[in-house]
Amino acid sequence: MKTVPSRLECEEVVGRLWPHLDGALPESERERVIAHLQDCAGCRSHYDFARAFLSAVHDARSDKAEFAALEERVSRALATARG
Amino acid sequence: MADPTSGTFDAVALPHLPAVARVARALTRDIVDADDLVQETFLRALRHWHTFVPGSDCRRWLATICRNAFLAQAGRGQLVTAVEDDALEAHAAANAHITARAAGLSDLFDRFELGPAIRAAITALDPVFRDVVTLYDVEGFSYEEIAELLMIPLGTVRSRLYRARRQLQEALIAHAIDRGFSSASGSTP
Repeated sequence: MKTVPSRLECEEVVGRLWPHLDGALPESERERVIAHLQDCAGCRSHYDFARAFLSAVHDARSDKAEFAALEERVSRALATARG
Repeated sequence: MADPTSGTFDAVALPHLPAVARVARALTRDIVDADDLVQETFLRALRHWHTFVPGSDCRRWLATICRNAFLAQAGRGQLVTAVEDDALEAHAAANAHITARAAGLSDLFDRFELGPAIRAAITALDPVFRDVVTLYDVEGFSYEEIAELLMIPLGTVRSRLYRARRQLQEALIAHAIDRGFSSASGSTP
């Protein structure tokens, strides 16, 4: 019978970085990834880079102007529907 | 239930128009069709506003109406086979980081204002990948919500998301190197 390793290797941690950053790992795996990241500067460096990347992508969301014309059109349609 | 005669519809529902528009674009893959679908979504939402429970997730409620309106228009449906290569994508992303580090760009996303470059790189993605990364990383829908809205398996959402991120990282690192950002960082390879 196979036993679950108590520690994850670097390769396993790197393979789990996206779901870890997304909060999508099961609790037991999440704890093992966190434990590994606390001890491994190499993996923590990948983690920091990936986290900074996701933050930059989120902050890059386009401004409201992109949908201003559509919002105006929808508002007109709603006003017509309301009579 | 929400009062259909009050002004709450505009205050509660309309702020979600950008998110609904992105869902519509992901479903239709056509901006003109997407705009029509957004309008239809809000008209349906207004008609059924009395069924909306105040305080519940209005964005999700609207996104579901949008998907249902899309399906009703042509009886369309999409289903693709999941490609479970998530770990490979994560490793490829780590390789992109190694490339960045070698170019003195470890702090690329902390140090430089990349907003326009990120938006351009997202636009340049294949729509299959762009849709998912936009809905997840930009709009904040969950894996499960995207799977439900786009009618694709959960594993496909993950695969597309991770691939999109890796492609974005590669594009942004190339952009930074082309612009000489590495020398500006003061780091040496």
